[in-house]
Amino acid sequence: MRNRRNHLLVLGLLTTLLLALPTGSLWAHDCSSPADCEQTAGYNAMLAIVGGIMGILASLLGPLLSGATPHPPALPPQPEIGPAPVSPYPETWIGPAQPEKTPSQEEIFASQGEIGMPAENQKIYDKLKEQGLTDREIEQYFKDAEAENANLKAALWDVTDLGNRLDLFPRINEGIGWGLDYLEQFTGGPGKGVKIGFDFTKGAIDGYYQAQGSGQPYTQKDAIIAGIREIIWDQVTKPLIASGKTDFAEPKSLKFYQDLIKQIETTKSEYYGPTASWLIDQGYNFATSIKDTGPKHSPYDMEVYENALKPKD
Amino acid sequence: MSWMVPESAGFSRAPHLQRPRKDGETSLQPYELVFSAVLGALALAAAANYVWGVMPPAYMVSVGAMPLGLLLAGVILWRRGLQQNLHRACGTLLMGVFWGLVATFAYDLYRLLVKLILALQFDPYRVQPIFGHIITGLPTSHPLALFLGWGYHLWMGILLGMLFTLMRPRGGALGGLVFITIIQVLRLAAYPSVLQASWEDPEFLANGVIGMGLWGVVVGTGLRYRGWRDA
Repeated sequence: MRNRRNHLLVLGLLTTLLLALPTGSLWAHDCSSPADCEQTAGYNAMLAIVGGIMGILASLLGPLLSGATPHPPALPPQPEIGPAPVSPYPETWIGPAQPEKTPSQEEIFASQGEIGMPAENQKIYDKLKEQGLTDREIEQYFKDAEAENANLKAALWDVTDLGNRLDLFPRINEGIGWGLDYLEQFTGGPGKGVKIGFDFTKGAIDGYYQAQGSGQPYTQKDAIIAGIREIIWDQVTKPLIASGKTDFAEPKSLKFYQDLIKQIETTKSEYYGPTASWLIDQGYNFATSIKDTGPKHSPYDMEVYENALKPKD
Repeated sequence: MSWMVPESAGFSRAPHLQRPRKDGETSLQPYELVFSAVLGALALAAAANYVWGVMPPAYMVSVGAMPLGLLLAGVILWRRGLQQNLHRACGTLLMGVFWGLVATFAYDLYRLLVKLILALQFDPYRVQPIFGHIITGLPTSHPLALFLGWGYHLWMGILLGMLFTLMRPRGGALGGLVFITIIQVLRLAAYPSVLQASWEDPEFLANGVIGMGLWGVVVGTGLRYRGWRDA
């Protein structure tokens, strides 16, 4: 459990870094000038998004939020230690027949499926044993953990399934691309580098799913080609289209993109009804508007700022 | 394109594996309901702002994104019958809210004290009216602008407190210090105007380094000694 918490910590820091490093001027909780204050909200927005993602990750990864180490079930009350009772039976008597055989350590692990690596299980077993639990109680502990893991996996499946039904993943993918485009305006070269890296990854993953859909094998070489193709599409072809230049062969990826959008448009009402369709369109349009307008200054009066910044005493 | 997680990866819909709910864990506690309602109100406020467009988008996202994510997380846990986890999550996050708020008050008090004691020339509370002005479009002296500016400032303290709690539920002074230092170092690395900050600048040293460090230590220490503990 502690390992999983540490994983969450690392995930959080990585998410922060991923979102933070290319943001350039989007920093500062405490602003020192009007321009800073204008930008500080971007930094805060980034932190808020990281927080939201962290909350969802924590809910999917398990009971990580309590900060508690795995706690075993409560021990039954132990009888007070007193003088050893005198046995009424002769020493050769072996006692009443045991109603149930206590499971061995191997049997416990054999029934656990995918709780974790055996070495990890061994450590947990040893720890619980040190705390005085019987093998029966430890078995119950592992069974509870297994049921909880199954629940969490089912929750993850549900989220994935919901995402598929709502066509969220392609849009999230697009949204990340737009976000990086937007941030690139602040950072220049480094932001462009991040975007190119994202393009490559996106192309390689898209290629994988396309190959999987068509039943074709997908090699490392295919992934590299798909990644490079996406970089060319994003960095070269799209700007040409945006600048009005259309006298070149339409790239295949463009056709794929158009087909995908058309498919989403035609099928979305069947899947989730007009209300959800409207909501998704709103989100889509909002994201588009942010991306299209670029950095925007709120209507404020610089003089008001300057006056506000003057020391009051 | 299929983003479906394959069955072969071990993921399957398993309603029959839902843990049976136990007595006492089927309902939310009153404080959890209040917390959820506040988060919902913030998310709704951000959504309403999208319709009426009062504050800039970045401010809207910084107010609405985390509550929305946390509510979604709560729905996931609730829907899967993981009420105990939901109770833990609420308790832990509320500790983050509390200590984030306390640390922000401490930080604000510190700013005032350091100015008075060291006779520094800066307005310790200059950003709140500016936040309020940007959010509302009203003059910085307008009561609503002041109220919302301070509200935004405190909300950011709370948000950072919750974020730290998500990353390190057990807190610790060192953990808090490291957390806020990472935030500050990244800021220094990426923020052009702060790049001009100098160690010889007393305000930067007092607030940007020591003040923020104080915030981290207060949050970390508070969580360590008075944080949420699983029963």
